Amino acid sequence: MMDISIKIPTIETERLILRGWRESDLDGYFELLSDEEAMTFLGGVRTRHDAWRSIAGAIGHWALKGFGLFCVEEKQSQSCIGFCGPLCPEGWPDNEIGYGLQRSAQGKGYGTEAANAALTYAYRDLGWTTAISLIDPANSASQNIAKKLGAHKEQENVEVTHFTADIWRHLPPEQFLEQHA
Amino acid sequence: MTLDIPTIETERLILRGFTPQDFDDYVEVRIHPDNAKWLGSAQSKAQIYKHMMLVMGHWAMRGYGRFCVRRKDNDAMVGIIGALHPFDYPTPEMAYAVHPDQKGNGFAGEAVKACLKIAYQTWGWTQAISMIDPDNHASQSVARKCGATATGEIIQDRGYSLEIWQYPSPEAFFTANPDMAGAA
Repeated sequence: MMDISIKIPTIETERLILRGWRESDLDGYFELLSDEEAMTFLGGVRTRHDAWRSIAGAIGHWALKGFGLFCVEEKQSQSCIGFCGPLCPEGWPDNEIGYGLQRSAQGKGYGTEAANAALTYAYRDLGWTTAISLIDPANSASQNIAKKLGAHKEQENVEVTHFTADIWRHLPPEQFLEQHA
Repeated sequence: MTLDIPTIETERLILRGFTPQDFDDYVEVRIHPDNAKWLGSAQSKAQIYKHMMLVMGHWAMRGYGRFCVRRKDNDAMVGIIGALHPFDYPTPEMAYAVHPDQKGNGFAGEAVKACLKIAYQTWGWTQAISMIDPDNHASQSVARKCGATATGEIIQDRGYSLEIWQYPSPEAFFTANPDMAGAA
């Protein structure tokens, strides 16, 4: 019987590093989770305890599925500005690329840069054949990121566990990798 | 943070990390009415999966955590047993939730003792407790079989009143269980 261990890869983009989680990421991650405006479309504000549990959950998803959310680090500040990555917990309609950034990190193209890297990773390294993003019907910033990656809205107002979202379908692997990677 | 979960073998049990294949059995442990009344109200499968993610990620956050425990003879899930140390708790505790079909065989106590051994020998614990509802006699019985005693100290935790049970010190534990004193 094998012991269990995981190694979360590190992906470097022009301005960001997608990597495994560190204890010191709790501050930056909580800055996102405690920001009412940033969390409007991500299930509402959470406590610091919730943020701790959420990081543990992200790592646990890696352990169970072999993939999961990365910590998104801004190279310039060397701090956690949000999360991004492939995920598919129980009750999800399909393999997803999820993302969320602190308000102060929004509007700079970081979301697109991170999601692009995560989708490239999912197609190239995980061998995914398709991917979605679940986006609140009113979350235009997130929709813009999906559009920039070539995704299209496939289905509206889908009940996913405890929330409602539109399903945005990303380009298939070959097409995406040719156009974006 | 790294995540490394050892596998431990006892006389009748295997203690190891969870895999996706453990999910259905774990759902049975969580939703059975005998357990749900101590573990919180019955939850959806999505919530229970999130909890399984948390149980696994806890190992990375703390360096210790809870195991998926199965019987060696028939692979049946005995339960989820090991070290629990939430964000805002001052100390870790030994926590256990046992599958309703596997109660009364001494399995939980066997697993908790294995966890005390690794906690004292490898995780560096100098003491160990469990927090148990004063009405949860089955859970008290497990703690008692592992040498724990009720301290009478009650703490409030998310709407529950829980009594602190104290396990024997490392020295007392290995004196009482000399067969467990060998290297981990």
